[in-house]
Amino acid sequence: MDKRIQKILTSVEKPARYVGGEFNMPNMDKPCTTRLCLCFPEIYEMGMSNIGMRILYHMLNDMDNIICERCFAPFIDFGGELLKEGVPLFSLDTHKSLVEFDIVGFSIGYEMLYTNVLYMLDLAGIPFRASERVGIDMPIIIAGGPCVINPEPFAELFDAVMIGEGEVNLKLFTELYDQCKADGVSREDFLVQASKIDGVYVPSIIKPVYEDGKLLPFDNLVKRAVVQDLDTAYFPTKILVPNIEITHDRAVLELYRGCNNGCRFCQACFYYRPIRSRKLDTLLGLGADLVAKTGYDELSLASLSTSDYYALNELITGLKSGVCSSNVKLCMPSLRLDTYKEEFMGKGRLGSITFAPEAGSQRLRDVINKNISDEDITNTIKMAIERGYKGFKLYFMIGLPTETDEDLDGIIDIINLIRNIAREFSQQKRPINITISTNVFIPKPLTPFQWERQITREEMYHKQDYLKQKLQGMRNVRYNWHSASVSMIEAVLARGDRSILPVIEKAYELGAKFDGWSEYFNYNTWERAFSECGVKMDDFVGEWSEDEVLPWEFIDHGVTRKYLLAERHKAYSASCTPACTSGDCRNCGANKLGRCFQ
Amino acid sequence: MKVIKHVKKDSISLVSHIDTMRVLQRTLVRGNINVKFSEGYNPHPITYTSHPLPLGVLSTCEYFVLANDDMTTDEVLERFNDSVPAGMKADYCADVEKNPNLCAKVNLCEYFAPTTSAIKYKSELEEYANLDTYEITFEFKGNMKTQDIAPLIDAVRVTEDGMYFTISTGNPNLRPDRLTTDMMTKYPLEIGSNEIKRVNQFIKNDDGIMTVDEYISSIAR
Repeated sequence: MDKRIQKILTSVEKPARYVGGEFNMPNMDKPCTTRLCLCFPEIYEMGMSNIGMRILYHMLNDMDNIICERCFAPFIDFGGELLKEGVPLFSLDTHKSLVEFDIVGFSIGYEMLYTNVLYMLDLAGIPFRASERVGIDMPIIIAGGPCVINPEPFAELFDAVMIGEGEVNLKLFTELYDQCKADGVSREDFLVQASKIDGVYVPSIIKPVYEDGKLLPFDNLVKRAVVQDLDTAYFPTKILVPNIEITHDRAVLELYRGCNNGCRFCQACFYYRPIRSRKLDTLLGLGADLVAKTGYDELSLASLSTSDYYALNELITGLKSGVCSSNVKLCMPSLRLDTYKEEFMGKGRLGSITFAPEAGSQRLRDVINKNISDEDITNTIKMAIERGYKGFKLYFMIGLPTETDEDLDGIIDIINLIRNIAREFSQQKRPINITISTNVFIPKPLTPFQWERQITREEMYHKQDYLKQKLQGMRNVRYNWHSASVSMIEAVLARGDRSILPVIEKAYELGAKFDGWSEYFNYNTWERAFSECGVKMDDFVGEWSEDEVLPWEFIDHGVTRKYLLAERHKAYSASCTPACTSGDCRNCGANKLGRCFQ
Repeated sequence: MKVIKHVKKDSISLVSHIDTMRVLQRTLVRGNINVKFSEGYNPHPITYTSHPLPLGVLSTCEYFVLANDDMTTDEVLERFNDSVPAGMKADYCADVEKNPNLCAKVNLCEYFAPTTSAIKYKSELEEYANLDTYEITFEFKGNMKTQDIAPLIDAVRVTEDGMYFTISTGNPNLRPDRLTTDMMTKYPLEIGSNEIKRVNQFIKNDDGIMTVDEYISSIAR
């Protein structure tokens, strides 16, 4: 290891974040013709918890002739030292600087990480924009992850953007690169060939065209790549086991992709369709293998709505009688209120239980298609209290379409309901603790609410103050709320077009990074960046006309515009769409990418 | 009980003691090494270590004790080495009747700092072990602290390759890097920040001094 790096490592917090050496590291000395570095624009503890990173890292390393390494955003102290010592950002696995790789890929999972992408490129000495890298010897820089639902705000940073599931498009992209490199194909010709792969978007080839300030319909659509058969899809069990504690420090079993509920605000629900599950036997085998090969003493289940897995009872029983029978804990994620069953609840000394009703009133829950009734809420609360839970954590959104103060009163009604049930049925001497968290609704792309406006910051403050006032004096009730300013910037970055990139670059230049951390986010920096670039935030958070072409509509995500619009119209009459079940298709369009309910 | 002697080198030396404990416990699960669990409300595997190693310091002599009586030492050693991250491989495994309680018994550790320039200042550096009183000042949890380290330095020996020094461990304790940092302010020693290595642990009492290896041999079954 470079002596300068060694010197820096002993002077920063948690140096193990930057050196690798975890158990189950793939062979980094195997014969290799193409070398990738997967970057995650957050710190090690967050990036190592990401299941997508885990899958792709191991999948690529299992390919012949390919070596894949990792790099995470250096924390402020380490980044500062790298700059001071003139050491370019390097990979964890073999401590190579990023410019030495053939391909550098960023996984972008949250809009507030955009400045961290620039931070990492800057530390690596890589010019930001793809156009600035033409003609110089630089790696191919690519992006993937959930934010590619609308890649336009950052598209021009990248040579290519992977739209959809990396097991499919990143694999094909890497194989093609390896072949083109062997054949001596130029960078430009390689990108032209790559753009023909399903789910590979090359921003220098597909460009938006505006006429009179309006975006024109696109000629070519980029089709999202999806895994056709999840049950046989690559899923690593010999995964890296970090040497330091990470955010989700446990083995994770992915049950299925997609969601059959169709909540109208939820981007993930529509993005990850079609609904594809792993078989019960496959999961039981993977779970046992994961624990044996990692040594984790916790196993958790992951999916968008775990309680909707077709054989959840059998899975829990199988895991509890097998791998989780002794000294390995099975961790359940937060579950839906309408499908919660007593057997999912914990045993022994119980703490708090988490639910997300999202809206306080039945009317508003129907608007957002949450499909949860007052009765579901009452029954589940009663069941939890009788079981001995000491607290409830409840998640709500504020600023949903059609929301009024009466709907906010519904949140207070739910708190009162819990307190009343607790008084009647609780065996505990201590009162029940209730924590309420509210996030501000962001009309995200690829949802039925993508045309909606976001409420103004003044409205956000009003709603938060309204709740604070109503909760005042309520003992054992805690209220947490998400920052209005962050929500506003997040909405602009989620809905933006290519005019947003100069703003992101300016914000970074003015010092913005780690914007997802409340202690580092500075609204004034962003406000100044927008103002200096002459871009108005209001242009991106206001309501959009239904006949406008939206910036991300060059991507065929499966779910059709027609379906999303129909759902939007149903929302206004508070009309619900029941959850999809096999054989009862709602014709959202996702099944043209792959078969639902295999 | 089994006592495993392992090294701690390369990137794993940058892992803190508490994280190292977690790494070792996962090693036992992966290696399928049976360990007795405590019988409290939150059962945990019964394991012990020797004194924590300061972050960034390498070692050739770390000791890990685990409550296992139903496997042979060879079996434990093989399984441990198959399941531990690179940089923590074990040298030997001994079978002892009960916890040797190394944290309470070990009171001296020998470290090696590689530096070819130390030989030029051999007498000055070795004199550190003969001082009656010697105060150093260092930053501790955001505050400046002063410590008289003279009574905590047992021996300093300089060779062509570098410097060996034996200092107090436990209570009272002297961090090896505090001593070398002080030496480097006085002499151009160029000791890398991730190069100091713990090479021996000792038990010193009224009966004399012995290495932990000797002690474990004396109590091994």
